[in-house]
Amino acid sequence: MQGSVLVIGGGIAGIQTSLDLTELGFKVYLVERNPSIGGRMAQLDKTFPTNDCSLCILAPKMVEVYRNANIELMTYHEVKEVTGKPGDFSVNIIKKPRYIDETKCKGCGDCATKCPKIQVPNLFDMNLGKRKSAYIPFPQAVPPIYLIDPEICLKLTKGVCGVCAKVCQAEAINFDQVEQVIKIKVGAIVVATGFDMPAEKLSSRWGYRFENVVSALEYERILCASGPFSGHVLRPGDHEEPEKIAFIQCAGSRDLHEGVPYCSSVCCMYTAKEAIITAEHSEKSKCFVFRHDIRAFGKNFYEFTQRAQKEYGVKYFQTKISKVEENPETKNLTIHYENLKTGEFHDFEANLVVLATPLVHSSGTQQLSEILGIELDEYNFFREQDYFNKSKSTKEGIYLCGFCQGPMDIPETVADSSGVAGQVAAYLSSVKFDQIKEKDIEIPELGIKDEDEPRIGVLICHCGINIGKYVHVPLLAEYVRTLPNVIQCEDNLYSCSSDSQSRIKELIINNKLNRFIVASCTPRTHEALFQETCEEAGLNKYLFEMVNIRDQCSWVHMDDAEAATQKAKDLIRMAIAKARLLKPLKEELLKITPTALIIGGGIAGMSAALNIANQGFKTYIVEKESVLGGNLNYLNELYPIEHDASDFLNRTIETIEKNENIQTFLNAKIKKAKGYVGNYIVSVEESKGKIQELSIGTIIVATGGKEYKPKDLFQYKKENKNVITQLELEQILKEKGTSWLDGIKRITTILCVNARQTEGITYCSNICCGNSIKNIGLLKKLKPELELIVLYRDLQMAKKRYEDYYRARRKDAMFLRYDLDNLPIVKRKSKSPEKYEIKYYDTNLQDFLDFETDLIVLSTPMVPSDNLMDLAKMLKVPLDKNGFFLEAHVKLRPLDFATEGIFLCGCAQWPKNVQDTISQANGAAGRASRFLSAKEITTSGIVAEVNPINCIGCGKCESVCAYNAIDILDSIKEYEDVSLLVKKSFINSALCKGCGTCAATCPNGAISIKQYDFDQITAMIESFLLET
Amino acid sequence: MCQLSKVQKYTPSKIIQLILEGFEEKVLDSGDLWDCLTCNQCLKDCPEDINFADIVRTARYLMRHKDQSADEYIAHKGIYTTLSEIMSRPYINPERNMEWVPKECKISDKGNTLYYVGCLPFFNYEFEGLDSIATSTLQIMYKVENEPIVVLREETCCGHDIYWGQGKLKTFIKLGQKNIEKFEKAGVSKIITACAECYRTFKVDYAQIFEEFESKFEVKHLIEYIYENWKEGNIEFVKPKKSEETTPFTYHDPCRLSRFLSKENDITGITREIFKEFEKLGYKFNEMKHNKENSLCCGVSSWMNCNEKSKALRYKRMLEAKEAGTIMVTSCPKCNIHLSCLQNDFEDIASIEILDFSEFLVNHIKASNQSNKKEGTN
Repeated sequence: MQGSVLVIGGGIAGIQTSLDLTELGFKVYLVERNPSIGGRMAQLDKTFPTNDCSLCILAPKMVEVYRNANIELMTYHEVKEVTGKPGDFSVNIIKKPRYIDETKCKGCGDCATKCPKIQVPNLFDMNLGKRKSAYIPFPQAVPPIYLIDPEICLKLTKGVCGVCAKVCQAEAINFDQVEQVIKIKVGAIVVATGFDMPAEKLSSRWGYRFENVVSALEYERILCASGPFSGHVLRPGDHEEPEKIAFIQCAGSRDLHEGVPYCSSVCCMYTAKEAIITAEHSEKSKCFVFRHDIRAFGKNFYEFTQRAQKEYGVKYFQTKISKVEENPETKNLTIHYENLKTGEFHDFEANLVVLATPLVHSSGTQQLSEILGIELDEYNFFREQDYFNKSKSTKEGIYLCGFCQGPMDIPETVADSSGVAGQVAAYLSSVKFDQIKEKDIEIPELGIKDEDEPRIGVLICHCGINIGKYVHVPLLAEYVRTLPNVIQCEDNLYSCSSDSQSRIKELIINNKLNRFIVASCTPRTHEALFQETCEEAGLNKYLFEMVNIRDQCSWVHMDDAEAATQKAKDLIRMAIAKARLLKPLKEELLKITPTALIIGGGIAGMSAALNIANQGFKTYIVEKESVLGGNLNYLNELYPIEHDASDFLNRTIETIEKNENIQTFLNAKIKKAKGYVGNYIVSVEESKGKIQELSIGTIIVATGGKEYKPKDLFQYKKENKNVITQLELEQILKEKGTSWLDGIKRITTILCVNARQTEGITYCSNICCGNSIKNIGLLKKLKPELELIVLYRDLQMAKKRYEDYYRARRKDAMFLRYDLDNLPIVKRKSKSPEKYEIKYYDTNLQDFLDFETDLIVLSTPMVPSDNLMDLAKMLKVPLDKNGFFLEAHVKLRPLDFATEGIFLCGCAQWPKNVQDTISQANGAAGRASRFLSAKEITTSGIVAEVNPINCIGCGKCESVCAYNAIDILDSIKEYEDVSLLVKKSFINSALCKGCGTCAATCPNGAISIKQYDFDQITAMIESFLLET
Repeated sequence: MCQLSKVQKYTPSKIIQLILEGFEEKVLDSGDLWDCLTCNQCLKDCPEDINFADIVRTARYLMRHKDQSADEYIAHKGIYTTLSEIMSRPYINPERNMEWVPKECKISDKGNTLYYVGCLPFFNYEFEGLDSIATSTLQIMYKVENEPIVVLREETCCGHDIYWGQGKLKTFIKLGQKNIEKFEKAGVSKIITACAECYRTFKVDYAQIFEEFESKFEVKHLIEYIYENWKEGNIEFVKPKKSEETTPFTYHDPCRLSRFLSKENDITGITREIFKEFEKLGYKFNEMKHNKENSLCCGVSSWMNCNEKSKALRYKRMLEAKEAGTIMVTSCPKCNIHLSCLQNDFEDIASIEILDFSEFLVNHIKASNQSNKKEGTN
């Protein structure tokens, strides 16, 4: 067995898996065929439903990958051959020539600046922008290393030019590079190759051949501030601002003839997002969405599409489109469509058309499946082992995550990726930490006393000519030498090179420096490197300070060298003023109790428990009912696999019972929970009133959800036996044979009962359509002569196989569409036998119709379990407005709570089906076991500190702390003639992230942040104001 | 008796003794005078009439010039005194929020009578409900005045806190000059304020520092304003709701309206005369154990020393109030802030309703019939 993992694909899936895997104790080889990691998410402008800047939330993770010593980042590489057996794969990887030596390139960009102006379309900008031969795909690319395009490079094609080699002061240009083969050995392989969005197939009917018809991904680049049009909404053809933008949904999706048969699952949402962003960018452009169904598949997504219409005035039409044509003069587009609400045919003229292009497997999937020896499914996505093992491929030791196995959005991908990491960790648990690099043993740290005179060293970086050309570095160094306490100041070409690190150490040791400053690029990418160097020289890493004279000076003041130099002087002087007051800080080691507590014993809780237990950690399940299984106990058959739910449940419970690492408490609840990550004490009350105290390292909340009971809606009453909910139908189907159907001729299913309302339950709970359609099939099988009617609004069949599943059952039932404006009216016609009359407004036929039925099945939304508030308060984690638990970040931290060490999965977070629940549960287990694997964690030295004398215990800090690191504690203080209840704020440095919100909020200035305290900041400000 | 000495070691008489014996430097260097609440309770007991608060204020000026930092004593991170500092600049005139001005009240930027609002509109970002003091005051004045009342959108801080808290004399003078300039520009001769600190600052400190201030401007606290109009028969006190219940209430005398005024100034007396009248309106006025010149400190002064000792003092005061009634009236917005803030911490005193004098009176004042107000304006 090898303690290393190959991850193929550097998008968000690959990034998340890699990061989690290293924390779980494995070395990762991350192979990406493009020059940068980031994948599709890096190309997006914003992400729904929060409209966060996509790259802004992704870039920190990309940088984390780059800085992670246990991730070997292999961009511009491709997997060529895989041999060996599971647990011990041999992999040959092709390293494509960049013609730039990545060990020497500092990413200064001098080569690209000087590269002659032969330009080709930039693929990163979906060919809307241009790049040169020497290039970096986008400014935030990771690694920040350039490459040369051999197709257009004059030196490589014609043997002339070579100017880049002349300007590169790092001597990194190497025209002689050739393809290399790298051989590695890994224990497991994770495939995360994502998707493509080719629009070429949409040329004829959807008009992609016209210059002002773009794919949605192209439109993302148009919207992006760093995109080809700097964020201005313009037509690609003539760069005019469009007045009318038409978004066409399902262009080529759910299409059996020329597109893909499945629903891509994310388009309804990104279209709403793109329309909202357009409305924010431009007052002139109006957005029109030509939709089919609205499939907003995810937490609070449906409401987002409603916001687009209500708040941003985006117009939605329910249509069928026959074709898109171009007006050859104006280059405007005419959309011929049928309005499904009115049944009329119209033409719509738009200035720009955005196609919701289907998302398909990425190119090269076929070859990769052959190299790996794993199967593809009927849609050319990678095939999962089976329904319950979505993350496993058809071959042992090879795992799948993200879009390469079917449509999913970013949070699902992230959850999936963490889940894969957890499963790989269980698979390779015997070789955990075998190949992990430990930090070198440090040389003893110099003791620094408060009264010691500061001895400051400063290194100023030219960054080739990147800084040096615009900032007069030698002049700067001369100036810095005149400043008080500066003992040593040097300038050099690249401060980040390895010889510079040796020089920094020499300077510190030889000159007995007790502070060090580097003025160069951004601390985001480089601070950790310099801090490490300082530590190696015996200097506490918090005595290091970094100044960003690249972004702040040479980049933003490129046209004014004098101002850039002056600003660099100011910034360095301010840093010196602060450095004088820097104090060595201590990082605490926090022991982690290697146990996990799972709250809730449904399929989510059980799956999470199995994953963690299989990694070798003691796991407790606390279940309030007398049996494990949660909602699964009431289910009959699972879809779309037609698998008996109780069989799956019993098998799972059996595995749980056999697992020695799992201890289950039934009829139990959490009484009390105190402590913090790694060190919780949880009191569990068992049925007899017996209380047991458990030492817990990490907690997973898997409390599930329940079906909403539609009291008094659509005749759902005690006396009406034939008006039942979908879950009640499940139970009947599970327990009774066929005789109950005697005398029943017609069954009507009403979907969206009390869901997607304008008030109350506004959300779509995603699972009801699929479940109802499954039961249609089962009923038809039980009694083929049954007449089945489905009253629906939109059908949320937004998963890979669901569209086909739905199509197959369309022949079994009549699907009739209603809308929220005219809810069906149900009347009881006779009591025995029960008969009902349903009157409804058919939106397809534009008419009121009525029919009789014998049985009515109501599909109601899933709502949160009861009494979650108490648990939420105990654990100090939030609930959202619908009463589900609220994750730390809906996009990139879907399974974490902001409070460190507590995680969530399953329907506690949001309604979801069994497969997604298992996937999330594995994810939460993966996230949680990172702490358990680490045994101990190091807390940052930069934490908040309370001065108890000034603290008035007002509690404002506690209320703003996002990490629940602050407690307000009581004590009684006796004065001469009064005794006073005194409250004081206490900050748990293990949980504090040093964000500073508490310090900014404290009305009495009682809280300060180490390394950013008031004295230090004041010193910087004073140094700026007093010395300019 | 020094209030501070109840919660920490503090002996004003010993400090005076040290100064008298020539150890002034030692007193200044110790930084002890930053702790003083400047409530002047000690003055009440001093046989020699030594004005300790005046000494502290002067000492703070000197201490600052000895490079002592007051930062650790300043509450709310100095935001409010920084505002004053900013306003003292000749070219900066922050425009204030005027949303509190009730629609029916006509205001003007020129005229005879000025309502000097003070910091209230600035506090609104942090404390709740203080606007209603300004609103009530203006509504009361509107019942009396015939001409539109002058309210300056770009009013300047009176300088009280920066002067007393941090001893910043120069800033105080700059603020004063700016104020006088604005008063003159607006053509006012009469200044009404509902704030104890603004009142004392204009009445005593401006009068001392700026020549002719006293002769140019007539300064009145709202209490005096109401009292005089009542005595002249321009207004009468009425009972807005029919109710047989009697509400017990009490009054917290701010130091700035009691111990800090000259002996001839009898605000404490006239306040009680008004309250006596209120007994006809379904109220019962009860004195707290410590009242008038003897009144206990609200715990904080000039945004200095908000800490748990100060809380102990405030708590004591609130316990006295609780004994005396269900409503506690005061005429200093700062006392109001300090005491209300404590109610967030202690449930046992949270039920006491703390009202400003203006808020308490606004619905009980009616322009008298003989007043020609309505004919004059309409």
